[in-house]
Amino acid sequence: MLKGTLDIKGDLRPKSVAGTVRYVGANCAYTTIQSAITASSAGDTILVAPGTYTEAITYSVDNLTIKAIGSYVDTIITQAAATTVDFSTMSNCVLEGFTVSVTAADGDADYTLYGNNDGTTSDTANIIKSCKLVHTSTADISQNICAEILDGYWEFRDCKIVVSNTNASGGQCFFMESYSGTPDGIKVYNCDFDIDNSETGSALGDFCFQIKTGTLDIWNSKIDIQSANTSTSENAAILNYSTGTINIYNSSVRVVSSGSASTYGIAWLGAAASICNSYNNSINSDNSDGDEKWINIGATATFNSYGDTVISGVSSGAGTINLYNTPKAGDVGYQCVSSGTTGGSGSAASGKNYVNVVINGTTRKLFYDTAA
Amino acid sequence: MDHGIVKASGNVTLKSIAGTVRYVGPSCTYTTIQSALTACVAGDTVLVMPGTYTEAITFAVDNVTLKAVGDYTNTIITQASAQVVSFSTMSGCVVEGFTVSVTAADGTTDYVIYSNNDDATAYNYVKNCKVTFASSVALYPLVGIYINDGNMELRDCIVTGTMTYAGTTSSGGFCILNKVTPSILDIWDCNITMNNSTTDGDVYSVGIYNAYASASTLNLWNTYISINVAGKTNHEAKAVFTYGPTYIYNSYLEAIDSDTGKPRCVYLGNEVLAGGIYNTTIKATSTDNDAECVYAGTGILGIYGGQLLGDGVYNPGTGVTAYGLLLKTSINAGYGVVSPATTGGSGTAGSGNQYFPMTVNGITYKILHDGTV
Repeated sequence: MLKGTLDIKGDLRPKSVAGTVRYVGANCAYTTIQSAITASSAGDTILVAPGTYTEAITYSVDNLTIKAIGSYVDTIITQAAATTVDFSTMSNCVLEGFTVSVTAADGDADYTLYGNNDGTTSDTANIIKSCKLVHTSTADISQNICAEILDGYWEFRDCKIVVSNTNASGGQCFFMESYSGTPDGIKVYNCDFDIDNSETGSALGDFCFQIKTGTLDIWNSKIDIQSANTSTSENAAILNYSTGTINIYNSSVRVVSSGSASTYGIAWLGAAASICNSYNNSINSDNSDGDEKWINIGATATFNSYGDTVISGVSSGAGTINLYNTPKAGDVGYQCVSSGTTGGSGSAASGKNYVNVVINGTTRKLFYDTAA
Repeated sequence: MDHGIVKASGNVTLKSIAGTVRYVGPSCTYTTIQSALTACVAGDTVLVMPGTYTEAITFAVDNVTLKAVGDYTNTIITQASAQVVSFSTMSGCVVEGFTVSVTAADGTTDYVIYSNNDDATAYNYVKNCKVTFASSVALYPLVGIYINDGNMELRDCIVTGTMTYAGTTSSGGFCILNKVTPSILDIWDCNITMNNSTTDGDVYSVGIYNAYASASTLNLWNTYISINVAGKTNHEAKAVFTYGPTYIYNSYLEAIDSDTGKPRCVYLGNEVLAGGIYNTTIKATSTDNDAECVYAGTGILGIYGGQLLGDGVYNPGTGVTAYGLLLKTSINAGYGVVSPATTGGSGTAGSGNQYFPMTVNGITYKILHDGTV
């Protein structure tokens, strides 16, 4: 009789954990994207042939990748007035290479994208890449929301976003909105946001992002908001009305109202202790009656601006603003040219140390007492 | 009569040069990536079904493209403690759409990606990949992407190193090492981070190490690098550590030491004989105020625009010239709005004069004025 312990050596883990690839197209096993999703398990991939897919789709497993074989030019998922792509509570999912559109939203919940990602770590992000995201409305609705993002981690890379309302009575426009949610982290790389709202009378503004928790990082992107509003609405690239943190790098922000609505440039930070760090961005805030702001800082919020260029607008709000190397509008900047000591006895400034500094184009001899 | 119709003679057949596409997956012709790579001839493409592939792979011919059918979220090539992807001496090869990971490195040759490209001009490419390496033992240097020779392009990649050894043996490494000469390393739109919790000194934790050879060129566009360490004394955290021509555009670089180590966010060796840093934020902080945003020797390079942040100082050496580089000063100080005061003491040269502090080229002067500011 054999007794003793079984001694297992070596790597007994399975060598590969496989996912399945499913094809969607007119002549494929699946003719709708949703039927392929329904058949999928976590780890699978769906490849979609070029075409226009007039369907609403809902991710139903984690870690599912849906890719266009072509690109957003020829591969379109569209709805007239319903949520088009719903990530539900899934995480680790990818959507790549599509135009996703809502072409005639007639309700507030007609989202181009919806997601409530229940992942809890940054490596569970849902990723939207190389997509064109469109939300268009001609109806009088309260909110035109392209992406309703309520929870978890998200990444947008190389996307083009077009949000448009052409109804003069229609409501607010957003790219991303999270008022009733708690997203953890949003990363945006190399995206182009274009938001155009013809609505003229509401007291509610247009925003590219609305967050209240978590961290929003934006790199190398362009945000352009054009509002026709003439009321007291407050428009800004980012609305942060709670404790969220914003980092925005090397981007261009333009918030314009053809009416008299207030424009707040890069961010409207509410009274809570939110933080916005802004690095090397150009910020243009402009409206028709000249009271534009480039930043609003709520009572306990902090705004740190590092090397931004403010094309138009002044700052507002009672919170903390730290301007590091950010000139005020109209300043050209300064440059140290040389330093020395004035000569000649008896002259007004004889024997004084100075630095030659070019301020707004004119060289000034600035005297100093001591190098502190 | 001939009206000028051109008549062709000879072989006018359209020629096409065909590559073979080879599929890898449990139900495919190839069940391992390596078996498909071994079967490839130059010009072929290998498409990999989603899944986790616990194998070490080596390219065997030039001009092979290895692509995930899915994305890096569901297509993973991994090893616990061995080199994972080797381009070997091949060139013109592409790795796209994978997570490539070393999960528990225990040796300094456990590279996630290795390239020894022997072509003088052709590149290898890593695109849209998540490259991760982790170690809990003392190693130096642990390297994520090791480029021993030849040109390399990294685009849209996330590179993450995590070193959790907390003992007293020196432990550190490089996310990306570009070695030997001559070669070009192009990096576009990447997110590169290292966290090293070792508390020892005398080693480096580095984002990109462009090493040794003065002919190795580093080009960096739109990239975020964050190095966080807990090192002491001489542990140097460096976002960019370079000895060759170096061009950096529109990037954000930070080196942070939560203890008494010495962050040097951008370290320019004497051999940096050309280059420029454009519109880039460079941040360095440490707890004992010895951080340097920029450290340079005698190398030659211009810094154009951009800014220095944190508590790091600017140490330009003798060859670095800054044009419009801004220090972490409030512009309001520069323009005399905050902290105006009056020099004290009677009898001193400037006694009784009003001044505002202004930092020019790293030195804060008391700029005197004669009235309101």
